[in-house]
Amino acid sequence: MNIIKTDRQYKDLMRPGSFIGSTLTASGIKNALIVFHGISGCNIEATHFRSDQIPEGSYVPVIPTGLNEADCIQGGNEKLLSTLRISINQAIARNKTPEVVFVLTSDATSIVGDDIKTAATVVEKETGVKIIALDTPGFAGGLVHGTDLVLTELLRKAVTLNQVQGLSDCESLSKFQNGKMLKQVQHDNQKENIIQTQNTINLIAPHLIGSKNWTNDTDEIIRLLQSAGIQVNLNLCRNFDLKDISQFAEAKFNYVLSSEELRNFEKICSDLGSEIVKENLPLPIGIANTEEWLLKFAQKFGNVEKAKEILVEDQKFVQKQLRFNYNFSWMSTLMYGKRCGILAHAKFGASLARCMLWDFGIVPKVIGLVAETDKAMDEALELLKEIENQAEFTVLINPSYFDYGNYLKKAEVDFAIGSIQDKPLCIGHKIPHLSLAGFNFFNQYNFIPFPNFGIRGVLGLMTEMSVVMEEAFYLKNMISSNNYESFK
Amino acid sequence: MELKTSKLNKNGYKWVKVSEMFDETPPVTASCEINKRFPGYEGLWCKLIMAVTSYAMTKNSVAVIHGPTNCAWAVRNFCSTNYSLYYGNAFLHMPTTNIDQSSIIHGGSEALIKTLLEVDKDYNPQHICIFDTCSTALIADDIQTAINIVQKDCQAKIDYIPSAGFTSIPLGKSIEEITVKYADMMEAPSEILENTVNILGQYKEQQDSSTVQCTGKRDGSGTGCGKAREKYPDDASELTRMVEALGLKVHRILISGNHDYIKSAPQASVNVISCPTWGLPLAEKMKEKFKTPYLRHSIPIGIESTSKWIRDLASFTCKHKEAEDFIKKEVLELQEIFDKTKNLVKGKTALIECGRNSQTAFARPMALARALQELGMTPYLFGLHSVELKAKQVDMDYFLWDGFDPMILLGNYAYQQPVEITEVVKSLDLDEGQYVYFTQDVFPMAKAGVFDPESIPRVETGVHLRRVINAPGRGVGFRGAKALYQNIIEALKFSSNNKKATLYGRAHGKFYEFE
Repeated sequence: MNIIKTDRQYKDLMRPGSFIGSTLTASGIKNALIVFHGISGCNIEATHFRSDQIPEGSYVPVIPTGLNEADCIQGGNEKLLSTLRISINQAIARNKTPEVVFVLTSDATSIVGDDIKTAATVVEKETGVKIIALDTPGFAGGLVHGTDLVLTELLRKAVTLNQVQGLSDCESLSKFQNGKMLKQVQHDNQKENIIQTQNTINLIAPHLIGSKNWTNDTDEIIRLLQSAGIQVNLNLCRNFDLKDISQFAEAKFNYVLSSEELRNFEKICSDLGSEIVKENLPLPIGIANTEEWLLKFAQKFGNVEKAKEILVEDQKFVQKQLRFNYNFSWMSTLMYGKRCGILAHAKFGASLARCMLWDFGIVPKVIGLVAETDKAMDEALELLKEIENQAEFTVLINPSYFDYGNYLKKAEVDFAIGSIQDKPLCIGHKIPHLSLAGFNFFNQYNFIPFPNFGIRGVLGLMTEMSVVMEEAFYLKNMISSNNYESFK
Repeated sequence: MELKTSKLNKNGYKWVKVSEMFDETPPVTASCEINKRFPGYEGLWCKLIMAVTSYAMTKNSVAVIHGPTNCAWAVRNFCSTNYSLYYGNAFLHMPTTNIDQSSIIHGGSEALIKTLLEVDKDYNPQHICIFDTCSTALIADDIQTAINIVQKDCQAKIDYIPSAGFTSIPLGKSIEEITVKYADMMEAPSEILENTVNILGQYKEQQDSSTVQCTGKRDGSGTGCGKAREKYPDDASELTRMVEALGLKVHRILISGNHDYIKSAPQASVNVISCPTWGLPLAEKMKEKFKTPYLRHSIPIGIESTSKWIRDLASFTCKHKEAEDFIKKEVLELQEIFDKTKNLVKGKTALIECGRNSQTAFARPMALARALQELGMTPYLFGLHSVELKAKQVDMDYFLWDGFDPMILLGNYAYQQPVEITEVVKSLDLDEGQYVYFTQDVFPMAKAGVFDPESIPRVETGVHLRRVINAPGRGVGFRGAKALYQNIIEALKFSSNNKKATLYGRAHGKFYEFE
């Protein structure tokens, strides 16, 4: 395993800003509303990524405050106030009072220093609707930063909820802890309750897992965990009911799917006595990863026998599709021994690389890993250690697209896996490309709600992979006539 | 015009001439009045996205984005999901200076200087263009000084296009300011090449029209100047065919090519225009800087407009006979389908949407309206935000100069929400069979049981998604006209003989017939 980390001032990689992380998190809350206090380019970016939560989820409106050049210089608080008032009052008039309103900023409004907190307080008092104002400019950080801000505020809200019930800050905090203590008491008295305490987890930030199919993949994660006797308490945030935040501490563990470090959120979790899952588990992509992932999870939090049962059940489902199937035999033989490149979020990319090698016999020659925090990157590298003696490959740490493309070309890969944003780069290098990573928006044109994760997900993966195999080998003439370099 | 029973009337909407709407709208800089009259006006995209996207049509070049990584990501997302997907454009490398909170406080000039030196060395491009962002513009980083410091140490020629997203919010204004910057990349010509023509106003496809060797580094962005996909050509392909039919040669198609290609554009005898929004300001600037004359006819959709565009060029270049022979031959070929279409739509109303949510499209719908009027239809435009119209004075002046001033729906389009098309229909007192719906870009209206192509003929004329084999996407020129007529005939046939709603309509409306 050849690891390359380039030290450059410039960056050219997949790194949406803080407000996109906040938008993706907030738009997973049912009946929320986002008032976007930023300029139009940022607003449309947020609006587009919000759409990731729409299939089988809910439509959270993103209302822009409509800033112009003068507002960005002289301040746009008036527009923020009026947008908040109009949006909330219209919603109330339609009997659709939002559970919570988020005010998010982008770079210009953040630098100008519009007083979003005061605006939120004023309108919250007027309307009685909870408003959370967050400063989320792109220069403050990326997706993880924005996600962390929203999740932290949600936990603070949980504490506030208890305050509303007449408890002080300290009392509210201790109520969470007492909740756990109560469970412990029950644990002493009732065996069933012990299991419930030990085997309940919260899923954290599913949108950060790096799969374009992240909503279906998360659903599959939940199905598998629950089948293995592990209760998923809350999914923050996907189809999330805000009032359920008060149950946050009922789960003993929080599973941050991407392994990105959510600093503020994790600190509050710690204050609340709620732990973060520490084990470095792969994401359940493919057979081998899923088996390892579920059994380890079950061993610590659930029931291993139950886990094995669901694995066998899914195995039968998959085998019924694939055994003695000529098409499968043909495609899996075609894939075997081929070389690919991967550019994805660190944990997803590392897990996918293992899956390619182990499940399909495809050698991941170039693996570009993108992460915002060291924790996610370190865990991804550790996962790749398991295949370092089984194949020769290069790992690029937060590479620029330029470097990634050049390594792909040098490695003579048959195809590359990434997201729509690096597709034109690969096509420019005449390398067939498959989008599996990234986000749903303009990237996931498979409308069938089926996972790529888990045992059953190999059918999804197989289907996707077969498309790129056709592109690479059957449609080679079409690729060459559409190669953007044909005219000299 | 007074609205009939439509709810639009209650909300203060009215039908006026385009020129009246333009005159009634305050200048785009009158922010207080705009705030008051047009609540929640937001604009579309931002100047940075438009600026870098236009530069993405150039080759062997790198866009250095002076700002946080998010800004480049926003542009990358736009380019890759839009221009690459629909137009087959290759990849623009766009490293950012990775500005963070510390740079916002201390300034980002050092990061810019370091980035320029690194990019020049690593990417080794022929040209670097710097684009600033909201943050670096607000903290007033001195970009020109940074260029002056590094230029002597860099092989690449470095230019700068101001592009802070908070500036020039209306699309037309930002485009006008961006496109003229390409004239700054040009050099005064040592000679004028006889019978050569530049086509200005292309900005969505990489084109090539010359023997200039656009060599690159095989870095994934393509090595040649590239050429539009021939199967689904862009407007420049048809305009080039028209230019060459007169015995003239296309010198440059802008914005496209590499730096050598762009800088030698003033060698052409004359500039002609494709899209007026992108083309006319650049033509005016080239006239001012290099005395390159230009012809004003733009976006020629329909037989009349196309003929006019050709005759204008023929008149300038003394190619009258070639022009008349060409027009005669082409019109003869089109006559049958033109007559057939005209018989089908004559007397009907053309409802032309100017971008359902974007509310910015003007030149395209106007050019389409002009072509539909030629077919005997009465065009009505709707869904254009007044501020966006005001920012497109260049286009407005052009169409008025050409004597075209159709009716348009004036209103405040609060929060840039689209008006209900069923209310638009009501406001004109139209019954089914009396009108055809022409959509632009994305999100056409369809709701089975209420408004669907099953009964309402819908012609897709959006520039991104309308792709016709061997005809330009926007429908310019004779081939574009033929494709438009074919699409109209097909839409009418579909809606008149069919009672099965589309999936798209069923997803938003009545799902089954038994409901």
